[in-house]
Amino acid sequence: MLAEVGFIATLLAFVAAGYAIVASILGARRRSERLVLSARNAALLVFPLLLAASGALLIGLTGGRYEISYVWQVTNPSTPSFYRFTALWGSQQGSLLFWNLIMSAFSAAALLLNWHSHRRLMPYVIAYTMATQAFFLALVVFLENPFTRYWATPAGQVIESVFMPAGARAPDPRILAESARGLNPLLRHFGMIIHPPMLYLGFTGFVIPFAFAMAALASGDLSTGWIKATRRWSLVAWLFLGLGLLLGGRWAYDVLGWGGYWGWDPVENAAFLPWLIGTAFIHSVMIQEKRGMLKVWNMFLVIFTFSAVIFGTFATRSGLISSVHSFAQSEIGFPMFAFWAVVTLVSVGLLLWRWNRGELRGEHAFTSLLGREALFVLNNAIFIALFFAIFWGSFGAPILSELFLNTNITLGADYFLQVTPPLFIALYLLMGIAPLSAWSATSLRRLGRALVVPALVTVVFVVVMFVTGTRSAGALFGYGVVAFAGIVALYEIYRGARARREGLHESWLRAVTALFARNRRRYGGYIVHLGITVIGIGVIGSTLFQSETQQTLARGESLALAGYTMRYDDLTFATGEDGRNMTIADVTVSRDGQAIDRLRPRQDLYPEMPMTIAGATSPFPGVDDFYVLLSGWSEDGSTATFKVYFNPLINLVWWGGLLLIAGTLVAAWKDEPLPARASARGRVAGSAEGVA
Amino acid sequence: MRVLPHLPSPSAKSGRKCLEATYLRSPSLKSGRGSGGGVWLLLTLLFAVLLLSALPVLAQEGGVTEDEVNAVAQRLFCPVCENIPLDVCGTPACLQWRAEIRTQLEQGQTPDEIVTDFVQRFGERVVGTPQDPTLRALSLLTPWLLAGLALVVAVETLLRWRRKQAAAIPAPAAETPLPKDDATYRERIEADLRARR
Repeated sequence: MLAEVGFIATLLAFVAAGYAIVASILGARRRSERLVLSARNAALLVFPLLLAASGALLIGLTGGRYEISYVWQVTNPSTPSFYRFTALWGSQQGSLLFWNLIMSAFSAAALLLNWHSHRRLMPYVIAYTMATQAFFLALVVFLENPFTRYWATPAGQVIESVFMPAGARAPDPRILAESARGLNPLLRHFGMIIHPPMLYLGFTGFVIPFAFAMAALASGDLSTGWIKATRRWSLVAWLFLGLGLLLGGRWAYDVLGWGGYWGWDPVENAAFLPWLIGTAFIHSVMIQEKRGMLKVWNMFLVIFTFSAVIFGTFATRSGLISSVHSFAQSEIGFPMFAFWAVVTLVSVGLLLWRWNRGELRGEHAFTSLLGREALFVLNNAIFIALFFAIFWGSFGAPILSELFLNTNITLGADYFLQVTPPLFIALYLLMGIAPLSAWSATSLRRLGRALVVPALVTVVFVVVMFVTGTRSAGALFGYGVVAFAGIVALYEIYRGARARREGLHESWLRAVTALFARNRRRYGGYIVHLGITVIGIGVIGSTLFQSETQQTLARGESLALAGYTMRYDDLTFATGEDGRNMTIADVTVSRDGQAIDRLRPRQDLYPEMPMTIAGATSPFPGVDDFYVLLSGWSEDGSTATFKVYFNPLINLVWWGGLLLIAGTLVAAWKDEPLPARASARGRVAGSAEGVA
Repeated sequence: MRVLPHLPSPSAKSGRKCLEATYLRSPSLKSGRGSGGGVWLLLTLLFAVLLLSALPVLAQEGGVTEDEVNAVAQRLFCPVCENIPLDVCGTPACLQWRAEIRTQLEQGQTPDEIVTDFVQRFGERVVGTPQDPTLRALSLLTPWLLAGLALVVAVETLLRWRRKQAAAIPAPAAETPLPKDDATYRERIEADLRARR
């Protein structure tokens, strides 16, 4: 019954999405309010239907209904309750259903929140969101159905089907329970529990700006309305995608046991690519809002972002380039490729059609190569270059060499660390210069004057780094460039607060809070820049100065690394609640003869696979990490082999991530309304400017 | 993000095959009692992991340190698992390949020679950038060409827009007295601005 409920709810959601597409298009063409409203109601119905379907699957997962093939694949009787819940996205079919659920939630929220304010766009928004939804629902209903069940045929075969085939019977539940597989051990980690939903939120979130952009193109309403409607949606999607990337990095650092957080794996890159283009889009839309320029480019970027989202999903799930994420492979490759190609071609075609009709002309022209608009265009060009460099290394070169040169190649960290640093340096430089440049026109002299203070502070910062022991010229240059971007952000906040203090005689605290309250987007953006700066410093430190050693120690013996000493104390064996066999080493980390922490690196053995859990500590709270892996041991535990890393500044990556979240939330929050009197004065001034 | 061990691929089909095998071959189908196959599987795996985990301990007995072996292994990808560096790959095959690297180092081969030997045996995909000059050039130059192209297009676009704008600005006309209406407007603006202050 449970499987039938889930399947029928999913099927109904698919039908509702299909109906919404047809009704919304007909409603828009015939200008029928009734049809458009009907389409909206059908689109809104998709969310509760998918909630019911997901609920049915969750009941199956938590209730141990192993006759449902998905439940059998991702849980077994020893799976803890918590992981039964997270098993919803533990494999292909469930994660696709979950993806659909999130997308339907985004669509419903966008329709409800924007219905009245952007009424003209709505029929097309429904059509585009539901077309995407219907495609992903079709995958669930027809290709990757999580509600199929196992049946035993009279011939002794076991087959999968939603409904009972003639003559078949349900298999013995006891045998099903005994043979059930259980959740992939790699997914039994807090980071991996949250990482996929965050990525899905990021990926599916971008469907809203895309649908609004396409609605603007389809309806001919090419004002900045679609950008205003989707600004917060874009920021939210961008934030979740960034969070997903960060949590994925944290998971890799804790679980995968190679001492780092970013391996330039093609599937990691598949999630990073839409984030890069999304970042370019978030910057570029500001120019259209403020100056009515770059209309074609913004459309192109939003199409490109969504196209990258679909491509990333296709690459991850189709096994295009198999990697650590191969648990999500299946036979949905071709339909996804076709969908990606059709979406991209149709969207670009629509954009070119409008462009050709001259309907996307900018309202202003560029006046200065140093104006903020020009710097944003350069920033966009670098993001695009970075996109192509990473895309080429992850997909382009390996696929083309296999197709045309009959050679398999892998472009790994070697390649990415040669190609991407100059582009990142250029991005950080622009991140520092652009905020100091004015909209429209800035002279070199004026920009130079604005740069003096941040540049001097940057020099002081680099000197301090040198004095405190950093001698590598490359590292000093990298720290300087990255710090410059953050210093400019701080300097701008300081300048704004100082102006309020002088003009309105406010305290520093009041001035800063009022500054953020009045222009959350701008100052939230500076906090994001600060976060990216902190992450950059963490990346440089941990990449250039990571040290490692692998040694076998007898009990009581020590090894030394980067000024720290690690002593091997003991080895114990234990069994976890979920049946895993754990081998746990006890080690003591000391510095200058003082014990600073005790770590317990371990290896877990599941029936499916062994897994290494790192024991990491922060000798200097919040910045560096001493990272210990247990690689091997003798049977009696008298000796054990450890791989030990010292990762300087690595925790700044996570601290920077927190700043990035905080800044994005501030930027996405609605600005505090002006007091009535000031507002009225603003209106007067606005009308005066309009007249002028 | 990298994985040490291999991941099983729990696709629907492989899952079904696995279940089918269990269901059809399990003695419990006939007797209706629980199977002991899982216990044997677990014991076998335990034995294998104990054996594998002991390998690094045994391996350190030669003159070459594990750090030296890892320094070479870091430059190579596991020939059987895609995108996983050899120094962190935990499969039995990779443990053997690391042992092989140790032997080659002990025999006096340089790291470059060992890397070349792996490339000759397993192909270009075991290194992070191809060794073949054509493939290497293709891999490393293409992104620069693309990046350069993006920058050239951006700069050219900016310059074109700037030229267009310069051409569009009309020559300054001779100063003429403001018509009466404009003077009225100006007064209104001044009044608005005074109110704003």
